[in-house]
Amino acid sequence: MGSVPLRTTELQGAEDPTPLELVRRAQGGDSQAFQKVYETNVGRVYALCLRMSGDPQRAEELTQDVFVRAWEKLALFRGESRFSTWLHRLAINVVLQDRRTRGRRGDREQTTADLDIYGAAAQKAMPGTRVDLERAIAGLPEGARRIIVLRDVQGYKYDEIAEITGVSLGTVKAQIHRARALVREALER
Amino acid sequence: MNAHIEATRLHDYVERLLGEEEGAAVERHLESCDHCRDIVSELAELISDLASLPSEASVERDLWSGIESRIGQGSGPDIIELPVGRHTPPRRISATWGQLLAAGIVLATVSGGTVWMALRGDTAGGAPLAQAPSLGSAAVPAVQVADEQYREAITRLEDLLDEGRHLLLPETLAALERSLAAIEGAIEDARAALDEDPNSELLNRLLIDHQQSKLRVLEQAAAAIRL
Repeated sequence: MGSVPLRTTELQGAEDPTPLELVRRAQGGDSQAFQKVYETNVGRVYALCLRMSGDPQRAEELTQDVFVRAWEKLALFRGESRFSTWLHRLAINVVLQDRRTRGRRGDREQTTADLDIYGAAAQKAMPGTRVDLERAIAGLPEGARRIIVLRDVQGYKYDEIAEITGVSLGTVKAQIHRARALVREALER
Repeated sequence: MNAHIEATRLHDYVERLLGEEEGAAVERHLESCDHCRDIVSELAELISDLASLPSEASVERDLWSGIESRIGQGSGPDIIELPVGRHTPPRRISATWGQLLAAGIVLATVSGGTVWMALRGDTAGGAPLAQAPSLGSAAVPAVQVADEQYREAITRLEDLLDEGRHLLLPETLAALERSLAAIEGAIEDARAALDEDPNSELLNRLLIDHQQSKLRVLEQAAAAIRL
C-alpha cells in the first residue's frame, strides 16, 4: 500500500462514518478520511506535544510529524485498542525520538521570556488552564518534564513509562519525585 | 516522635502504591507528624491539579496543509515501503537499522541461493527435491555456513531490536514476540532433528527456511522502528 496514490471518497451525504470506519478508509489510502481522523485527534496530540516539548513552535512541528508518521504506520493499527490510544502512544514515541535525534544540542534552559511566550501560548490553546502550572512544567529540565507529563498529566503507570522511555523503574520514580519538587518550588516563587 | 518518613515512601503512599501493612504504618505516622502530613497534603493537591489540566489544546495555525503535502509525496500507509527523502530526517537508530536491514536482505539472498544450489546439487535447475532425499557431502558445509551467517545477522538484529523495542507499540511488540517465539520453536525442532539426521535435505531446507522467516520478521520490526 505504500505506493498507493492518495484517494478520497465522498464522505458527505451518507450517515457520518464512525471513527473506526474513517481509520479503515485511511488505511486504504483515503486522505480525506485521514483528514477527519486528524481533525478528531489533533487537539490531544497537540496538547501532548506542547507540554512535552515546552515549545509552542516545536509542538506544531511535532504534531505534524505525528500525523505523517501515523499515516505511514496506519497498517500497524489492528483495532485491538482504541485508535486514539494507539495514536497517543505513537505521538509519545515521536516526541521521544525527536529528543534522541536532536541529542543534547537542542537543550537549553528556558528563560523567563521563553516561559512568558509559552504561558501565553498555553493560555490561548487551552483557555482555563492553570498557566502557573503550565509554566512550571515547561520550565523543568527536559527529562523531568517528559516524565511528569506522562505520569501526572497523562496518567501512565510507572512501568509503562519505564518501557516507553527505556529507563529503569527506579530512575523513572526518582525523576518524577524530583520533577514534582521542582514544580512545587516554581509555584512557590 | 519517630523520624520523618522518606519522601519516596510518601509519594508511594499518595499514589496508593504501598502494600496494606506499609500504608497503615504511614497513616499511623501521619497522625502524629504535622511535617509529613503537610507534605502528603501538598503532594496530593499537586498531583490532583496536574491530573486536571486540559487534555486537549486548540491549534491556531493550519497544520493539516503541511501534513497533506507530506503524505501526498509518495509514502502510503504501509509498514514495509517506508518513506524516504527530505521529510524523514536521518535518525541515529534508523541508520544503523537501515544498514543491517540491507545486510540482512543481501545475506538472505546470497546464503539462500548458495544453499539452494548446494541442495539441488547442480546449477541448471536441478532435480526435484523429492528425488534427492540426501545431501551430498559438499552441501552440508554450505548449509552450515549459511546457518552460521543467519545466526550472526539475526543476533545483530535482535540486539538492535532490544535497543529499539520501546519505540514499538505494546500490541505490535507482543505480536512480534509471538511470531519470533513460534519461529524459534521451529528452528529448535529442526536443529534437534538434524542432530539425528544431519544429511536430511528436508531438515536442512526447513532450518534455512525458518532462519529466513525469522530474518524477515526482524526486518519488518526494523522497518517499523526506523521511522
